[in-house]
Amino acid sequence: MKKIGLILAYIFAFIMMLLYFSPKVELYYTLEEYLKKEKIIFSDEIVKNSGFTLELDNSKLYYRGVYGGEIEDIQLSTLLLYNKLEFKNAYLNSALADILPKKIEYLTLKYAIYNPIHITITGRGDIGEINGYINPFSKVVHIELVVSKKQQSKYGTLLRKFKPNEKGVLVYELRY
Amino acid sequence: MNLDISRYSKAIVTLLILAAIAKALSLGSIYFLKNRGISQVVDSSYTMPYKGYRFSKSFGIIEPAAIKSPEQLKANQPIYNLSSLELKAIYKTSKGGFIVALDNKKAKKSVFIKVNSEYNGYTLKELTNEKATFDRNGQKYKIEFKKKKSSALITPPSRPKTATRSDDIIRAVSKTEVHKYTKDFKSIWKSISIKEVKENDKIIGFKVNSIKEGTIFYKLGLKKGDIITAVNNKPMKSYASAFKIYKGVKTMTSLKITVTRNNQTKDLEYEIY
Repeated sequence: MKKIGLILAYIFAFIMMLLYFSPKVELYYTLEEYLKKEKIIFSDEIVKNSGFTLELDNSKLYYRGVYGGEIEDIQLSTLLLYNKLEFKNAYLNSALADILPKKIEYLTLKYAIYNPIHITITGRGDIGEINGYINPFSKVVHIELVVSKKQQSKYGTLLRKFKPNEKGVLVYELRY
Repeated sequence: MNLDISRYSKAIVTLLILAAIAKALSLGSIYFLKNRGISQVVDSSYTMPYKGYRFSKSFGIIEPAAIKSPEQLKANQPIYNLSSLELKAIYKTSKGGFIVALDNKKAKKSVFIKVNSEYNGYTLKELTNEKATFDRNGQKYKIEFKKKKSSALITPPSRPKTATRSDDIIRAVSKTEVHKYTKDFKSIWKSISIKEVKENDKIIGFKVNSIKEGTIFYKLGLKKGDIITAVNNKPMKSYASAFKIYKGVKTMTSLKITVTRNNQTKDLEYEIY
């Protein structure tokens, strides 16, 4: 029993070492190739490998060649049982201010062992606060948005697919 | 005690071996991965503003199709909207007549202007049942009844504000109307729907899938099915080039849209006043 425990400890340690030594920067560059096929480009970013975290500073986001905005900080942390993708201070293109919020303070996607069926989403920006989840098993994206009446009318185009629930919170659900 | 030391050193050695294996695997995997990032190439080259200049004319060469009689020239002269005045009524008499208008620059003060008299540098020249035409330094300006809100006895016409004529001449579009669209991105979506047209996986233009009547795009002469291939002689090869036009339109004084309509290339030219 003691030996099995030791072997499991070695396996766990080996996995953590693999995660720590994994070539995150190169993996990110490979991911960029796939994103490019979807016409999404992160440009001019400073890529840093900080052990268990991959950091991208001052990324400029382009979609179909059109400048979408700048994201000050993107962090991808992976600890096998707890993974987090975080976007901080995204300033979107002011020319799109009519349809998109100008600033997103943060947007976080988390996947942890204590909630294995959901990838949780939280965020806050000019438009309001969002909470939601992605269920990869039932293939559902559920987003709840708390937004003021003023913002609701301002971003009417963006919020067209959101429907108010009984609490007055705007809900968007997508099955993919 | 000796046993404990050997056990710990054994564990440390095992961990170091595992770390070495993990590092080796990591280094080996680099071979299969990309080692360079992707950057967006931004076209930062300066382009002279489009002026719609015709070289042939500067050398005295007049294309046969462009030769027009003085009557034609007069009819083809762009007529600009006079936004400072709001037409309320037209009174026509055998000797001329006068109009009643509100001066938007003077807190909507009512003014009476006789035919052939001058107001703020504009001389009232012509009256019809629908509009009053002014002249200033040889340039024509018009004011028309506002739709629905008009209090005049004469039924206001349902003509577009934009001066439009046959396709081979320059049209005039008001800056105010253009700016309305640059400030309100949503209104573009409501007015026109375009989709890229690809050839060999490369964008060659944008097809007008639908266009709402009465909008500026409709007045500009664009039609459903048109493929916009260039704007101000700049080929529309990407969404970025379309967006660049959208961002720069507020500083433009003229605009040339090249479209393919029924397999024929057509230039739609406008002056933004």
